[in-house]
Order: sequence, then structure tokens, then C-alpha cells
Amino acid sequence: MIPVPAMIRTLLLLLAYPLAAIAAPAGFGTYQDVRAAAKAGPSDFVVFYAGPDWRPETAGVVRALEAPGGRGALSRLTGWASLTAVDLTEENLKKLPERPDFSPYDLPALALADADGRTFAVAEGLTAATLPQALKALAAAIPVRERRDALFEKAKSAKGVGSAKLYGQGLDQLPFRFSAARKDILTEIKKADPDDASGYTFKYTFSAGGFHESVTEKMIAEKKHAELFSLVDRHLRNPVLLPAQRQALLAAKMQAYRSLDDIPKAVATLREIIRIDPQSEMGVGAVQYIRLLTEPVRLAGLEWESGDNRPTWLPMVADVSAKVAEPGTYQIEFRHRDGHTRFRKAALKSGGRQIATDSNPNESNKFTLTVPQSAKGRPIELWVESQGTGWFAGRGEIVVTKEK
Amino acid sequence: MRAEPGANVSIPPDRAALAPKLLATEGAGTPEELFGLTAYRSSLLAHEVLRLAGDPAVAGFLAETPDSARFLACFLSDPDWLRAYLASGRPIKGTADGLAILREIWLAEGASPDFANYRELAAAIANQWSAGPNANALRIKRNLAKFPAKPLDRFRLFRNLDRAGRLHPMFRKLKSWELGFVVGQQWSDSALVWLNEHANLPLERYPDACWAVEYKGTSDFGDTVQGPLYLRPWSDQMNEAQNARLHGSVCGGLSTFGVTAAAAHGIPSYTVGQPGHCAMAIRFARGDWRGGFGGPDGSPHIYVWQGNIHYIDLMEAVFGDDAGLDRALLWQARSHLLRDAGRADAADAALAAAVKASPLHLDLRREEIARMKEKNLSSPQWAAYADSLLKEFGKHTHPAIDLCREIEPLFLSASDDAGKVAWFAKIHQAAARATESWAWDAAEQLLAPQAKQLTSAAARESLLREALAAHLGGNGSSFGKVLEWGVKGLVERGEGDAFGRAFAAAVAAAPNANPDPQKMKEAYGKAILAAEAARSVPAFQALSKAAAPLVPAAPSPLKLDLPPGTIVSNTAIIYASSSAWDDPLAHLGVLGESGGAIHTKDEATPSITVEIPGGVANLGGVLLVKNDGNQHRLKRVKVSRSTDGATWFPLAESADMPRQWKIEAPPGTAARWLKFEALNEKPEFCHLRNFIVTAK
Repeated sequence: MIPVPAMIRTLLLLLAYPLAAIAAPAGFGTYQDVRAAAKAGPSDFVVFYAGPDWRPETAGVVRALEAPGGRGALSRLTGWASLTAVDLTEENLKKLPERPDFSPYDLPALALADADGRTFAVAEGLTAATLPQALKALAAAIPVRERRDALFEKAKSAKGVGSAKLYGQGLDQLPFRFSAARKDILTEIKKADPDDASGYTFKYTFSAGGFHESVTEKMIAEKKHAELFSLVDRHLRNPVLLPAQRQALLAAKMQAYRSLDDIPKAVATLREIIRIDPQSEMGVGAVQYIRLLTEPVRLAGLEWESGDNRPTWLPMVADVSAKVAEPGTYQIEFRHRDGHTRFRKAALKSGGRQIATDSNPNESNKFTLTVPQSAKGRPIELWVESQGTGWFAGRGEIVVTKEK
Repeated sequence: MRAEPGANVSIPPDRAALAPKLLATEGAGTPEELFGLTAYRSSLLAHEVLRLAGDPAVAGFLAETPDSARFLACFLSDPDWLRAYLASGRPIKGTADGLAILREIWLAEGASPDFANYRELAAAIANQWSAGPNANALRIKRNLAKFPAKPLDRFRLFRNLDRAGRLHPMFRKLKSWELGFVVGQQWSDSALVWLNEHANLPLERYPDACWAVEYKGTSDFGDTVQGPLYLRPWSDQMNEAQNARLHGSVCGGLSTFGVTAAAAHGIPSYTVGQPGHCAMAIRFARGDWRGGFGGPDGSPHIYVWQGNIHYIDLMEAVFGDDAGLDRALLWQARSHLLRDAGRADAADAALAAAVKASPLHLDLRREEIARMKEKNLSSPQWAAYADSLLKEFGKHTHPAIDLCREIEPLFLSASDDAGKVAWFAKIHQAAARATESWAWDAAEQLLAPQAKQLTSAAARESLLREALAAHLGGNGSSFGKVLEWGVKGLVERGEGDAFGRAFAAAVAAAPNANPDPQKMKEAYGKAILAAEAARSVPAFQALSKAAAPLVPAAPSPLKLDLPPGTIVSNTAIIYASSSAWDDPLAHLGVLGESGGAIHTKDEATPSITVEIPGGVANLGGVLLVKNDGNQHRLKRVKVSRSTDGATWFPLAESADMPRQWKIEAPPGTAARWLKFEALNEKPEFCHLRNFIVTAK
């Protein structure tokens, strides 16, 4: 192929998809101009992230915004900017003296920014049908932003911990994702409250993953479980933490109990996580986590998949009635197709009663079990203790052979 | 399509019955005339499909259900669908799996009025679930109870999204081999549906779509992403895309998200393995792959021919030539028909015609080589053939060289050192024509095995000279890699003189090179930049030290305000985003206390990066010192750190950089790469006197 310089390639691309350049609603300004005007105002402004151009929804949203009264609950704002597909290329974003601090991944989208260009409310994945409600929700964020700024103003004239609390309460007004980006306010909080008596520095610097990496893992590795429990308890006394932050802190305890092989206490901690907010991500995840740590794995047939591996020894159960219908001695093999799953202690059960066992101390994949005459014709289940290894890639089939 | 008498003749699903009918038409026209007849073309391609699957597999397929015969009656009489199936990527060989998938799709959806529009799509799915590079994983996912990836569901998914206008317009033009990069993604069907609904971006932004997912190494539950539990608490509740979006991931998860988001909109894409990293690539048009997160080079996870970006480029050249590939498929099918009938000479002629129609097609070339091996060619004949491969493949020399290496023993084993060096020189001249690919290491993959075949130190010196001369005129990266090999293989083993002679001779012998020894400084400058481009620490260090007598005077002394710890940068490598007004011989000095100079072009965000070999677990800090003159050029600047060379974390930022900018790192900060960037309002030069890194 003849090499095509990048600029020409981009031009060809634009010609191929001409809508890319015209997907912005009429009457919207450039980001740069609207932001400058908002700063001079000062006033909030709206940014429309246009595209993708081939989606039917995009044209619908553009038409709706262009229609009389289409700006709905936000119509009193005069600053409306648009960023098209072309504006949003890294090359063009770099040219802006101040680039937007928000990058949506589901277009078309609207963002509401304050006079300093800081985004404080967003609506993504818009359609013409969802637009009026989105505009209402964005408009509802304006008085909240005003409350936030009023608290910041109050904080400026307060001192010490009192000032930090007001700043923190200001940050608390808006969603965490936007408030956590306010490093300028965090600096003020740290200055006013160097010992973090208010708890706001911890709240707005806490990263669950970072905490587990730098504290949980390290203290568990150094066997400092008691210190870890006490540290977590101390943080949990912080009155300003979000429920999700409390849940993540409790997860540190859960991991510590797991490392001590104290599954009951790990499960009890997971239940605490659920109690904080059962509907939250952590709450929902904790329910599943408890299953992973406690529930037997019931196979649909005589095959196990990677999803059937567990982090701790748990029974894997399969109905083998059809394969062991006749009394006699059977060899049962867990034949791997991929990865490696550990197996030990197998038993055959019928009517809840154990009828044969193989302790298999060497963790072989093969078991020998004898079906007694008394079990003939009754449903029989295979119970085997199993545990996943590595990436839980272990999968395979259970092969049952009757000894001659 | 033009109709002609006999176009709708039914074709028996039996190769043994089909072959005599086809052979009976011999002499009724030239092969090209026969190819023009729909009935002949269908029969010939049908024969090829059945032959590839294999008679036992076809018999088993027919025995499974009476629907198989019904399906084959339709499929085998449709030359466009057969063509889509045969050109869908890796050959679906020795199995009826691909036919079974088509049967399933046809039975469920074949009666829909627009089914003909989606034959390429069906063929692509059949390939990816049977012969494609991820067929095993996709087959496993097909049977999952939760969030499966099923061929029929995937067909319906893309067909329905296309009908609803929810795919990028390029989708409708894609052929089956291109569609493989859309439908062959390993995440579940529900993840694709979710991404089509929730990850909507202009085409230009898909290379960055990975960043929709937070980069995060440990979950809120405290499980590492390098283990199976990271996303497991939610994996039964939501699809992979939602899970990654809500709970974060690292490079693999981020890249898979970005790639699958693009694919969910009908845009071809692939994730690509790199050392310690996973990147991505998005296809904007035929032959135009754009990288994201460090892509598009490396080892793509979807491909027709496995390899790096050179193999993707070759695929584009071969499969993107629709007319050439059509002819090649027909000639190849004819060649197989004739060979099976015992007409070897006619089969060879047909194969030669297939190669002529698509001379870069690797599968055809391998078949050609297999036939040639049966003929016991002489060494000179093999050498001439290898020579022709290098020439005919043009810029696609990497695949050509790989082919040559398969036949090298046939003409090189009896050759002496001089003969071998002469051939290896041709290899390097060809390699230097290839487009830039960091994933193709001309030293490790070519030079090292070549050197092992030589018996004397003098021959190895000659080889290095030839390689240096070839790559000096080529791209910088390969030159740097060859230099590194020379440094490791000769200088570090006490054969510095041999390296010096080879380097000097190469500079003198290289095309357009000036033999004037006064120009050695220029050659060293190019060599140092090449070592930097190749990220070769030993070559950078050795060349910089070797060039020490030519280095300009050190800058005037300055009392440095060093960060805590020991200086570790003086054994490192430094490289910039560009080079202008720059003396590469002065780069090494920048890394130490004496100082030096490094200078970029005027750019919006010029950068200078230091890589510490092996990295440091506890970074002390960084000292950056502006050059003596034009200090106003550096104002708003930032320094980032990385441990994988692809993912960057901020270390410090300054709105107005002081002459000496000392940065102290927080305790326990790990880093291997440190990047200094100037954030200019308009393009500006960037230059430093010192970039010193310390470790505690």
C-alpha cells in the first residue's frame, strides 16, 4: 500500500464521514469561547459532547436541542458549547488553552461546569426521549453547586477543624467523583486540619485498592493482623466516611481472616459489609463472596468448568446415579482439559448418607469407591473436596469406570 | 451476478461425485473461461470446501441430521457464500465444525429476506468458532451457563444491530476475514450488546476507549487483578464489560474493554500482547490500524497469520486485494482437484497461477514450497527461489525472511562462511526495507542465529559489518538492536576492536555514507539515537562511552541540589520525543552530575524519558536542570513514573519550572521509567542539562 501521511489520512476520513463535522447543534459556541465567557460572567455553562454520527440517537438529540425550548430546564443558562468528534481528537484537545476535565465514553452527553470549568454534573448516553429528564437532573445540580460554594465561602472565614469541616461538607454536596478531583480544596482542608480531626483528609484521599495494596497486603504478609484490625477499627470510627469506604475497610479485615483460614469470621465480616448497604456494589459482591467461601458447587453434569473452582476447599457435587447404578467398585477420574483443580476426600452419598469414601491424601485425580448392594437403584451423589489453583483455569470431565 | 445456463445446478455434498463432473468439463474452455461460469465456480469451490473439511468429517456431518444435506444443498450452490467461507481467515481444515455453525445459523435465520446480506458475517463466525486463533476459548464460552458466547446469538446480535443502524457504516463493507476482527472477540454476547448501548464514541476516540475503565490493581475486596477473584464477586451478576467498567482492571482488561467496545459497533479491532503489557488496535479503514494504549504492534490476539504488525500488514495486502484473492482461491481449488486426480503437472501449473494471482499469500507459498521439496531441487535453485521471495515480498520482508528461514538449510548447509555471510547480508538488506516494528528484533531473531552458523570470529565480524551497513540505511530501531547485539556479543566479551572495525567499515560502506573519518561523530550520533530508539541500554551506554573523545565540552559547572539517595541514572538510557539542535553524544552527560544536553523539536508536549535498567523499588527523587540558555522555554511541566512503560502515574507538576527542579518521591515509590513533559500552550523546544534519578 502506498503510505498516506497522517494528515491526508485524517482528511480522507473526514470526507468519508462528513457528518462528523456537522453533528453539533446550531447556535452552540466553541468550548474555548464559552468557557472564557463563563469565567468572565461568572456563570455555569453546558458542554455538549456530540456523536457518534452514525447513531440514530445522535441526530435526535441534536434536533431536540435545536428545537424551541429544547434546552428545557437549563434554558436560563446562556453558555452552551459543543465538542464534536473532530474537537475531541487528542490532537485538537491539546490545542485548547484549557481542556475539559471530563471525558465521557457514552455519547451524546451533556456536562455542566462551573465558572472555573470544573464539571459538576453529567448526563451520558442521551436520546431524544431521555433528554428532558437529563436536563432537569442537570438543572437540579445547580442549587447544590451553589450550596457547595456557599460552604466553601463560609469555610474561608472559619478556622482550624471547623474550617476543614465546612470545606468537607462543601465537597460532600456533589458526587464523590467530582469532589475527589478538588485537590485545591483538599489542600485547604489539610492546612486547616493537619491532624485530620475532621476525617475529611482521609475521606478524600482514601483509595480502596491503594489501601489494600499498601496496608492490608503488607500487614498480612508481616503477620500484623492485630494491628490491621485496630487500624481498620480506628478508621471506621471516622464519622464522615461513605458507606462504600466503610465496606472497603471491612474487606481488609475479611482478607485478614481469610489469610488466617478463619472462614467463619471472614464470612461474618462479609455479612457486615452487606448490612451497610445490601444494594451497593460491595453488598451485592459480598453475597457472592460468601457463596464462594461456603457453598458446595453443584455440577449440572459430569463436567466442571473454570467457574466451578473455589478459593478454598469446598465440596463439588455431581449426580452419578446413572454411572454407578450397579453395586461394585468404581474408579472415578477427574480428567483435566485445561489448568489444574485440586481434589481430595471423595465420598458417595445416597439419601444424605455416606455409602463409600476415599480419603485420597495425595490429592490424586483418581478415586476408588465401592457402591454397596444396599444402594442399588437409589440416587447417588459424588461429593469431592476441591479447590482452584492459579487463575482457576481448571476444567475437565469426570470419567466413571466400573472395575471388572 | 450474471446468470448463465446451468447456474442453478444442484451440487452433490459428496466430493467423490463432484470431482468427476468437474474433471469432465476439462477442455470445454480455458480455466479462466470456466471460472467465469457460476456453475463451474460453485462446483469447484464446493469441492474445495468439502476437501478441506475432509471426507470423514463430511460423512459424520451428514449423518448427524437430515438438515445437513438440506443446508449443504443451499450452501454448496452459492459461490459467494463459498468464497466468503474459504476467504474467512485461517483455513477451516480437517473438521466440519465450520459447516455445523453455518448449518445452525442457516436453519434458524436462512429464511429471512435479508439473509444474503449476512453471508460474510455467518462465514466469519464459522471461522472464528472453528479455526480462528481463539476458537478453543470461544468454544468453551459457547457452553457457559452464564454470559456465554454463542455463534448463532452473535450472528443475530450483529445482524440486528446492523438492521437498527447501530453499527459504524464500515461494517456493511467488511468481508469475512475482516469481520473476524469484529465477531471473534472473546467477551460474551451480552457484553457486546451492553457495549453497543453504553460505549458510544466517534471512531477517532475508540483507540482511547480503554480509559473508560479505571486502572486498578486491587479490588475493593482486596483481591489482586493478577488472580481469579478480582472480578469474581460480580461475574455471575453482570457481563464482563459492566464488571470491568464498574470495578476497574489493568492493561489486559482495559484493552479488552476498548477493543470489544469498538467491535460492538462493527469496527475491527484486536488486543495485542507486548512484553509485560497488553495494548490494543482499532482499524479505521483497510490497511489503517491505529494503536491504543501502546498498540498496534506486538502479538495480535486475532489474526490470519500469527506474528507482529508485519503479518497484519501482509494480511491486509493479500486479503485486501479482492480480485487477486478470488483468482487465487479458484486456481488453488483447481490445483487441489487436479492433484487428487493424479494430474501433478497440471496441478503444479494451477498452483503457479494461484501464486501469480496472490504472490504474497503465505499459505500458497508454503504449498508451493512443499511441492518444490518433492522435486529435489538443487542448492542454487533453492537459493534463487529464496532470493526471489525477498524481492517479490517488497516491504513485507519479515514474512518473506521467515519463509526463507524454513528453506535455508536446503541451500546454505553446504556453504562456507563467506557464502553464508553473503546470504545473510541480503537478509539484512531486505529486513532494513521493512516498516518499523519494535516487535521484530533484527538482532535476536536474525543476527544471533546467523552468527551461530559461522565458524570464525572474522566471519562474525563481517556479519556484524554487513548488518550494520544494511540497517544504517533503514529504520533506527533495527540499527539500534544490531548495535546492541554487537556491544553484547563483542564489546562486552573483550572484542571491542572488532566492533570498532565493523562499525567504522559499515559507516564507510553504507549507502550514502561519507567515508570521511571526520564524519564518525555524525555516525556515532546516529548510532546513539538508534540505540535510544531501540531502548537498548547497553548499546546506548557503550556507544556514548566509545564516542567520549568526540563529546563536546561539558556545560559550565553548577552546584546541584540533589534529591536524597544514590544516583542511579548514570547507568540508564535517556531518550526524547524528537531530536533537533541536538548532539546525541552529549545525552549520557545529562544523566550524571557533570551535565550534558538533550534537545527536542518544537512540540506542544515534548517529552524526555529515562529508563533505569531493572527499575527501582524505592525512588529517592529526580533532579531536572534547565539548559544554560533559553530557560524561559520550560514553564508548565510535569514528571510521571511508570513500571511497565505504558501506564503512567503523575509524580510532580510545576506551573513554572525553576532552573533546578528537585522532586522528592514519597517513600516506597517504584519506577523504571520517568518521563519529563513540557505542557506548552504553543509548540516550543524542550532541553535539559540534567535528568538525574536517585534511589534509596
